[in-house]
Amino acid sequence: MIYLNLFLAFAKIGLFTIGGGYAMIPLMQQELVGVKAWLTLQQLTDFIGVAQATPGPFAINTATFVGLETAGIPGAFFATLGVVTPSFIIIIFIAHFFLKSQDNKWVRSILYGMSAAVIGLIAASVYILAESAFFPKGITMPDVKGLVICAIIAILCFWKNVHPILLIVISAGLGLVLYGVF
Amino acid sequence: MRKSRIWTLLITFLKIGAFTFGGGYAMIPLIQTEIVDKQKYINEDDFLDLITISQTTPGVIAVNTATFVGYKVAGILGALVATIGVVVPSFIMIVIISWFYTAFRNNFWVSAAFSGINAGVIILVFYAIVRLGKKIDRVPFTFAVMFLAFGLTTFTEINIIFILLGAGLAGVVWCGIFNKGLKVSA
Repeated sequence: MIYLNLFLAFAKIGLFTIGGGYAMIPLMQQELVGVKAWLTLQQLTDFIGVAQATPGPFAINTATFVGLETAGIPGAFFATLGVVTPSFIIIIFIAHFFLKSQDNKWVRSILYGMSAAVIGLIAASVYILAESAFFPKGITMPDVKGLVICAIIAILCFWKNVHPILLIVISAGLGLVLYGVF
Repeated sequence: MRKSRIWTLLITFLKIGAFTFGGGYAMIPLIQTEIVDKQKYINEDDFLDLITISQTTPGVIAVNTATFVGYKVAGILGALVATIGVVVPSFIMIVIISWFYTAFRNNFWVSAAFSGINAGVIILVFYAIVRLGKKIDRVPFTFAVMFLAFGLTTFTEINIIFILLGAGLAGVVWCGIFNKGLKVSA
């Protein structure tokens, strides 16, 4: 029964959030800490920290972790399945109709505006990430190490066309050297 | 042909699941490299459409994107394979990490490596938007929408779904009613 509950709780979280992983946090608090009382707020905060520090989509990591802590590996499986299922079904429907109506004038008009907005949204996430990475203590105290890593990665990315996975590995290496050794 | 597409989707999305940090945005450059540049299964214009729709649909953006790209490349089976691919590495890693997660979180070297990754990912995502930005018409309308979306997301608490809906509505008014912007008229 706990498995069904985990599935349903995470399906609800998957269904009612738009805008990805971080937008899910308030609903997770409500559902997992409040309604179900599976976790304390401190536990949820810890999980979010680990989920952020682990590769993969944030929402999947959190679902797996909460499921695991609540009901072991089967719990992790059902929580993850829950968070994925609504997205999967909705996208299959949308994809099916969209690929047929892709050239429709009205569909193109909506996308004409939305695509421009999406570029702005992603730019905003770069801005927010950069602010917290480079100026953790305000504009007067820049994190020089982070800026050095960014400069190196920018050169490799824009001028040398290095594969993104290799860039991640190089970033980790630079982090070990700059933040670890020095 | 189809079989090789399914296989490529699985391998690509396993890589994406294993090397994407943070949210769904960091997977965009990886999909560009693997699916758009290398395999040429999707062109960059269609890719921008897929990203836009994945952002606007409820759920996990990374899963939305994986499902949509998979469906576009190889139908329902493609969607399933891409989705499984993006989920499985996280699942396995979290199970392993949970066994010693306090040690993992507080480990000095782990956090040093992550400080590096956090800095590098900024450039990766920036590179992805520079590429996608080239697919947008360079006219005052799109620049206005872009800067408004950027400003509202960064400096206000407005839910991004309203920003996206507003932009869609603006697109309808601009292209549909004033007949501007669209190159292909249906």
